[in-house]
Amino acid sequence: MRRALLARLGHGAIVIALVVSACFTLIRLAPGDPFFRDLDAARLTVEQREAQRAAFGYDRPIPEQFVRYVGQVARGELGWSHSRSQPVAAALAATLPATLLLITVATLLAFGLGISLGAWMGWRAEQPLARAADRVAVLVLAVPEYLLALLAVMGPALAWGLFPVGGMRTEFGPRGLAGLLDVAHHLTLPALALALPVAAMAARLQRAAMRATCDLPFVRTARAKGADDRIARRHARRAALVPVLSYAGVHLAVAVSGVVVIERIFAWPGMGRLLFEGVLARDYPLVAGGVLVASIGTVLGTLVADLALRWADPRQRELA
Amino acid sequence: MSTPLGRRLDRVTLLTLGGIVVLAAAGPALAPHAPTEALDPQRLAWQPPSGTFLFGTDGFSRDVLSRFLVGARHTLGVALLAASVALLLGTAVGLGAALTRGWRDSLLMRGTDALLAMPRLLVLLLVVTGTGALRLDALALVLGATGWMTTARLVRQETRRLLATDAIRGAIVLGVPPMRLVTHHLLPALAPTLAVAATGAFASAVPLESGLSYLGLGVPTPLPSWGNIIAEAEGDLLRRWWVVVFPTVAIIGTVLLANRIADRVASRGEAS
Repeated sequence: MRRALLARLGHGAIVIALVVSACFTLIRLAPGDPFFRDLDAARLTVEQREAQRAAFGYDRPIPEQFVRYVGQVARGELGWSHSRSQPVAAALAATLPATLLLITVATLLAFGLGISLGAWMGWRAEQPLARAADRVAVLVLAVPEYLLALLAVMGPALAWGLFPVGGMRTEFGPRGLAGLLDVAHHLTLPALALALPVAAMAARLQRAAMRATCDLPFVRTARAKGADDRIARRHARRAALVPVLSYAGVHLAVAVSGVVVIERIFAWPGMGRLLFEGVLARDYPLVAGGVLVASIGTVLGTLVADLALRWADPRQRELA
Repeated sequence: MSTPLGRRLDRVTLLTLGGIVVLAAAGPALAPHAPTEALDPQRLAWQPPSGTFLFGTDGFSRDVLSRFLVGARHTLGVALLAASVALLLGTAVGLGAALTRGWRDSLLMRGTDALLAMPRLLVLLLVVTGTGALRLDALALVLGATGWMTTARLVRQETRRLLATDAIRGAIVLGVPPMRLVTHHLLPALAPTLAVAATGAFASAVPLESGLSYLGLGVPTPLPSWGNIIAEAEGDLLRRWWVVVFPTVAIIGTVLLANRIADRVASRGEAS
């Protein structure tokens, strides 16, 4: 068990190292540099431009830049954000809590909803209602995420006025407990928009796994020993978690992609919006830092999902 | 393996598939107006559907039906090319990893994991803003280059399984050279997996293109695409519903269709 865990940690470290290189490559592959707007102005001389670029190390040979970049990242310095005039780490840290709140709530919602719905859909696969639920899940999966979010803004928020249109809290709004409720009110629509496609995917996976598991010998044995429907279902449900849990790890990267769109549509003051603005300003250090943080989060998420996998399916413990 | 694929697809699927192929092939010929022509910005902007304009007009008084028909080719073409690129890259990496084993396998798969851990949309945004608005073929290439990882993992897993089967082991024992083993033994056996991966890549490229177009970074603007047309509504989905409904239905239909075909192919593979 411990050896397998160490191996997984090693894999994670390699993946993160590769992500760092990929980030660096992407930055250097993209034409232009962060100064194209300010420094390529006609009033500046070539020398002034070069001096400014040199100050940030953009004139060094690529391998040297790479080594410096890796060294900085290892020390937790993600560079200087040109568009926000502050360190990248500070800019990311300021917006990370809002995004973490959104992703955490959406993820819990998605997998809670998806797994319980999917388990029911698989256990009662012949019922018309369960089949209809599966059709709905297939449909939800085919709708582009941004359209779901836009529909949520247009319907419940704008037309019916049930929810705020954007932002995270009412300006000069209440504090304390009422303030928390205010945040929850703002959070509902973006979290739902982010969670729905994931929930649909989780439900479908759980449904398929549940159907496959129901016929396995250990469930039959449980029934033969006299377990009633509820207990047999609990046996099956835990083993059927395997595909969903492997999906849960990968889901984080997808969620971050979704967050960029959702935060833009709902004006959520998080990392996704920050990064989108960074992209528009060609603030490469900022965007690369964001991709790095998101990727590390995903790698950690995969690791947690992996551990959960071992808990759900004892057979996985011997494999690895 | 006994039933041909055609018989496993029901009539609705076939009809939709036919409709989409016709749209992509004959779209421009069917369009009543030029897709970029502003007919009369003064009087004909935001016209709801009517006898003259079946799908209404957008804010520049362009005929939405014409844009929809011509846009089909762009949206489907970009997605198809992206899926092909993803299939090619993914198959190469997956086969390479499965056949080499050892540290090369590890490196290839950890690299795949690393790319999979990077949020695809952010990578796309980074590339697209670095280069400015991409031409259609470049957009498809970028979409494909960021979408091959799932294919690689599927191909590696399936190849590993195949390598342990009697047929492939027999071929190896008989001394079939490696290249021939790949082209004559592995690839044919991989066909169902590849079909599933390709339809999956296609199904993910269609909404991604429309999402990028919505953010203003997809298909460059005067050219119509389904995502572009939706973006024209400027977020006002309810009052300008006719601009949104038709491309949305088309996108959802296309994705549903691709997923359905993938499902059918997958169940056919299992049955064999």
